[in-house]
Amino acid sequence: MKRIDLDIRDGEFISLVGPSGCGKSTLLRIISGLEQQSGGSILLDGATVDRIRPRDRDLAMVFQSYALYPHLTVAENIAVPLVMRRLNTTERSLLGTLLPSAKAKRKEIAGEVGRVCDALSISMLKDRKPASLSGGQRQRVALARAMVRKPSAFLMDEPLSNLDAKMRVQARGEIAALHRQLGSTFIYVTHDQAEAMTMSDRIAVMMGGEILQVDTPDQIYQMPLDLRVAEFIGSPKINVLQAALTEGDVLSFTFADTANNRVQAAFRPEAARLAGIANAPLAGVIHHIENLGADLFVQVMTAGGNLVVVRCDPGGIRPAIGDKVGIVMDEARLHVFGTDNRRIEGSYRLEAPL
Amino acid sequence: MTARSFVSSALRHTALLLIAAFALLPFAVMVSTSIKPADEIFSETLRWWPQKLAVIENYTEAFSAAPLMLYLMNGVVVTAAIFFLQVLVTLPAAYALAKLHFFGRRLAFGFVLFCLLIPYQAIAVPLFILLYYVGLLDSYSALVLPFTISVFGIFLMRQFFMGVPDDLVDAARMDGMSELSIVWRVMLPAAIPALTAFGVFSIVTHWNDYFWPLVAVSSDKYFTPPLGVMAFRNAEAGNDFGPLMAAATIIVAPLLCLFLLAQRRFIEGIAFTGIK
Repeated sequence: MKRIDLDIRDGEFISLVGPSGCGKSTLLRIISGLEQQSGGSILLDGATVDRIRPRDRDLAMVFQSYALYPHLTVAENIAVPLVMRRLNTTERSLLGTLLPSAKAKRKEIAGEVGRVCDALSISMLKDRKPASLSGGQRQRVALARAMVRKPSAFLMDEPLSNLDAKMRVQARGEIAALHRQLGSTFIYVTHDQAEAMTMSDRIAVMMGGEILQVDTPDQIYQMPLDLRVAEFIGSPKINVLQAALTEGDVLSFTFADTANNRVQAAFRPEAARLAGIANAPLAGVIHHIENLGADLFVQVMTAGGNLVVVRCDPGGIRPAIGDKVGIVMDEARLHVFGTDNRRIEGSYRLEAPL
Repeated sequence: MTARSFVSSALRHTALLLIAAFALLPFAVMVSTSIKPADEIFSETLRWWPQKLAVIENYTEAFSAAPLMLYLMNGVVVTAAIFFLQVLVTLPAAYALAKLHFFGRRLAFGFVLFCLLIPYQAIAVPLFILLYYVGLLDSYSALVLPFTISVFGIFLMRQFFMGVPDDLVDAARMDGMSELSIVWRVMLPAAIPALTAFGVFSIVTHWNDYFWPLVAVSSDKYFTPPLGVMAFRNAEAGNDFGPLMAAATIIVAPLLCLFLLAQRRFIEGIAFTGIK
């Protein structure tokens, strides 16, 4: 990882998103203290925690595999962080359970565990072992174990990726609601751009060990600073075409091989529409149509051999596979990137049709 | 079930039964001899069930001719102490080899594998001399100490711990456990099947061990059961096979009970660690 500079605000929900192997989990583990950074500093509330052990950093982590203790019941699992912190070694030992101080502390802990269980509606599971729980229930127990300590920040490492698609959407809403309710900082690692978009206050897009952009979901979607960010966020993927700039701000898709000012033009499927061939900057043959009910994604094979996806209104005129069509983009929603993938700011016009 | 698979399954089971019967034969002879009166043991016709039962005579003789109870107690004390100390050493070592990253870990594990190759008879003499210099010969310590570090146990538990997810260890660290707490509070409960398997290996080995106690102790108050039986044979009873076999049966019985109790977990443990 290189040049990571991330300033997380108090109480914010920030997602670290990127393809697998981009370093997002490593970054989270370094924040938690489970892994040691080779250089640089981690500051929590303005104080460096570089030499502080994970347990003393006042952070809680939810793991992808939930990592519940298989031999303990749900209630015992949730109580572990409190037991380890509040009871001393003697009080934790087998004989120590007889000490009045241990008894009082355990009672207090049981009360707190009960409250967290109620908040996540898992009270009826308290006496079960993790093996007998469903994926969704385990995920809640893992959340409860993190919550019970009231940490200053929650670290979550892909907590939803072991759930099925339906549960995931539900859990997404629940975690976001939990964040609003607790008001603590959430640092959420995911490879799923939809999770990042739907839950976060801000998103940090990582690739190849680098943070490419940190911004609100809207900004990330509408103003990607890097072509790789634009390609990673959004489904279906943004369309990217080779183009050339002529006369300074005119974007041409029909450029000669020798043309200078080569750029990469990108536009989202909803920023384009199908039109007649006559007055369109881009033309092609309809290759395939994906009907999702609410949206119709038309894949057009252009003369240059690129597949371009255009969103159509299912209520409008339905094109047919094999039709020759033109594509017109919304000039305001065009993104232009240099050959180094960086965004080139400016307003552009499309080349007039020939 | 089709006729063909029935035939092949029947053949398989017959073969297995024959092998099992062959393995059990000496055991059956031992039990059968232990309930026969002296004159029937060397009679020309071989009988499984004696004409005149001598259960009470042989077994009371077994307990009275030698302090068999003392030997059994010694056996329990020694094997229990060995197993307890082995667990105390093995689990932290196996945890370190499986889950911690430190310089020389591969080398350390290489040494463990290397030590697996050393038969303990080979180091019996150095051990004996060592114990002589420390002045611990002929004591319980002499019987227990040489076995407290079990490389086999370290190897077995390390293989098992490799399968425990790293996330679980990290979660325990986040929850505030020290590394030793992780060993006893997280790894130990997860390792019960493997530990049972190791326990059976360890207890059977040291309960039945004849060689080391023979070397290490000479006073019969420290005799373990196998030594006791042999001392018994040399005693005034001479070759009184009835009581001797009765004593042997009594000595084997606790192991049998232990194995039957631990059978399920034992097999789980073997399956888990992929040994054998």
